Amino acid sequence: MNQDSRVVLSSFMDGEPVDADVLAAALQAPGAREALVDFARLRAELADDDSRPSPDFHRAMNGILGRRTLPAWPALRRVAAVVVLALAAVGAISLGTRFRGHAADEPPRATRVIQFTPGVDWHEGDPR
Amino acid sequence: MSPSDAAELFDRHHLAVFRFLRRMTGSPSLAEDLTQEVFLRVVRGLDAYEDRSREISWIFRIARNVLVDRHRARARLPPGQSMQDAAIVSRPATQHLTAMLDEALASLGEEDREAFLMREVGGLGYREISEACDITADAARMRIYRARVALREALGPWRPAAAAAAATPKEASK
Repeated sequence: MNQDSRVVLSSFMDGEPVDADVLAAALQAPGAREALVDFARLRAELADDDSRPSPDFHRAMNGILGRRTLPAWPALRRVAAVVVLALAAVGAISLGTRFRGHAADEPPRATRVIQFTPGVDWHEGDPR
Repeated sequence: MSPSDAAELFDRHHLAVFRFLRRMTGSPSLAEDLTQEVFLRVVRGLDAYEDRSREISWIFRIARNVLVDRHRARARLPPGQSMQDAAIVSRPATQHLTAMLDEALASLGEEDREAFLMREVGGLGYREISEACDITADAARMRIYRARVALREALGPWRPAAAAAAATPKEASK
């Protein structure tokens, strides 16, 4: 197989336009099949690369690109502050309501009156 | 272009750039540093960049310039470990297949290697490689061809043994 044939096969591998007649001649050349298979093997071995940059790299790039590392944080902080303030307000109101009765001048009204009759419900001087 | 455009360019191309630079240098940590430099220059150059249809050529041209600058900086340093030596040292011994391929890649000429890796790792076409490297499309075609032939020759004696070694565990599990 001469150089021109292999150049055509290499270009064909890359999806570049090649003359069909020249390609046909290149494929007829001795060793063409082996060359094509080897080119494909090379491609497969290089494609089998799942390497990725480290998290440190991405953190640095987020800074360069003006991205926030944790974009949800500011919004979450605002929501958390509103919730805390609302809970504090509700707590203050409920505590105020609870303590208002004890602080009043008048005792609470009786809802039931129980009467005890001496000699019936209890006996003086009898410890039992 | 807005910062979000830079972020989109990064999302689309940073893996290809990183893997290209990793193969070119043989060092993942160095490739990270260089990839960072590439996208720093992308952000700085966004305003001057107009032809969006050729963004991959533009980004790989920057990657190539970053590599050239690194070579120049290294040339100014006292003699020490070469990039090819660094590639060999940084390889895990267990990844024999990958190591052989990296070694074969390191033995290629710089121009052939970068054109070949732009094609195979970056996925660039001949026209895009020609724009990134300031050469003609035919020159890109010949560089890639030369790289393939050289790699085939370098890996030829090793490949059948490696394929047999890779097949052994599958057969044993049957």
